Amino acid sequence: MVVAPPKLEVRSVGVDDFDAIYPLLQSFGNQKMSRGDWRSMLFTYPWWDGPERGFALYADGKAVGFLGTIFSKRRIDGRDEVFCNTSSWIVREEYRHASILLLKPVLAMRDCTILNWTPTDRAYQVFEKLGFRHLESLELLLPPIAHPRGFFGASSTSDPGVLQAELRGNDKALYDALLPCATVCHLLVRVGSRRCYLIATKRTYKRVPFAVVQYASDYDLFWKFRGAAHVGFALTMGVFGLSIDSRFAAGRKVGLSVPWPAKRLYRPARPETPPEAIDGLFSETMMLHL
Amino acid sequence: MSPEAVVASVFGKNLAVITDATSPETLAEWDSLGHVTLVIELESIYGVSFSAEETMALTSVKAIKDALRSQGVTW
Repeated sequence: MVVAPPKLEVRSVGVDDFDAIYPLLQSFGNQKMSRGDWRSMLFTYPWWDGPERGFALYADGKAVGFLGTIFSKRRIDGRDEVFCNTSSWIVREEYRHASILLLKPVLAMRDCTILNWTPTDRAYQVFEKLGFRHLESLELLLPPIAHPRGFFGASSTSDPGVLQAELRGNDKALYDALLPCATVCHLLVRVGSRRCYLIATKRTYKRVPFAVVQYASDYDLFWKFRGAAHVGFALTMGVFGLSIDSRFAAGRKVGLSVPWPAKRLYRPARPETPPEAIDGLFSETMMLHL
Repeated sequence: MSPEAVVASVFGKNLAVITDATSPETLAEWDSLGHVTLVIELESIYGVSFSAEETMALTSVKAIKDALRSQGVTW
């Protein structure tokens, strides 16, 4: 008896397709991610109105592969740009050689910047060959040891009333967009008339909780007064230290930091977009429990 | 450029070891992610586009040659 090969098809998927995709996501075996976490991270994140949430590979109508696309719109150098964070690329073993079918529609999106935030070593090699650029290689883990100057004259608050009242422009827009995300912590560091708005998520490194700084409105102020940020996040999130991608140190010598591997890639829509222009907001790291 | 040369280049192998019988079973580097790079290279070099079924069927150098010939490609 001759068995016909399955009919393969790739379709874009939306929120209503989550139930069909979820069994694939369970294959990652991430015990820290509940069904609700997967749904929030890939399908119901609040900052994108468009219908697409990724692409699925179907074999005879059954979902056998998925690649998530977490979209966001950001302002870079005064221009609105669309970002697509690829996430959770998974294909059933027997269809692995069709993995490329999920990638093709993403690679075809030439008008948006594509991010690959947590590639495996092997995926990193492949994406590099496909023209993706180095975005990051290290996170800096910052234990709660800072120079006394890092506190002097500075204060921090996570009071929603203060944040609502003091944030302006782009920062206020970010605050409003991320307010529905329970995993996100907002902090305002104040030094005289200067302000640094910080957005962080929580992650454990070898069972020790850290606040991962995804965004800072003023990196110069952050580095000078990171002690105040430490205290603020420790009180608000119950974390031990801070973590931040090394590109945001911008050449500063950061004492007493612990480097942690964090390979990230991107393919910018505009070649001149530098890695420093790309932060972790609206990416899978906002909600992925590692 | 021959299909053997493309396969050798993608997987960093000496051309001499690539034959019609070369496949994911005989070449450790030809895993599912390696297949992604290979298919994109083949499409770029020969100016073709493989269907979903053809992509799945590219499981040896001989199969690649057959698929290319079916699209009128010569090398």
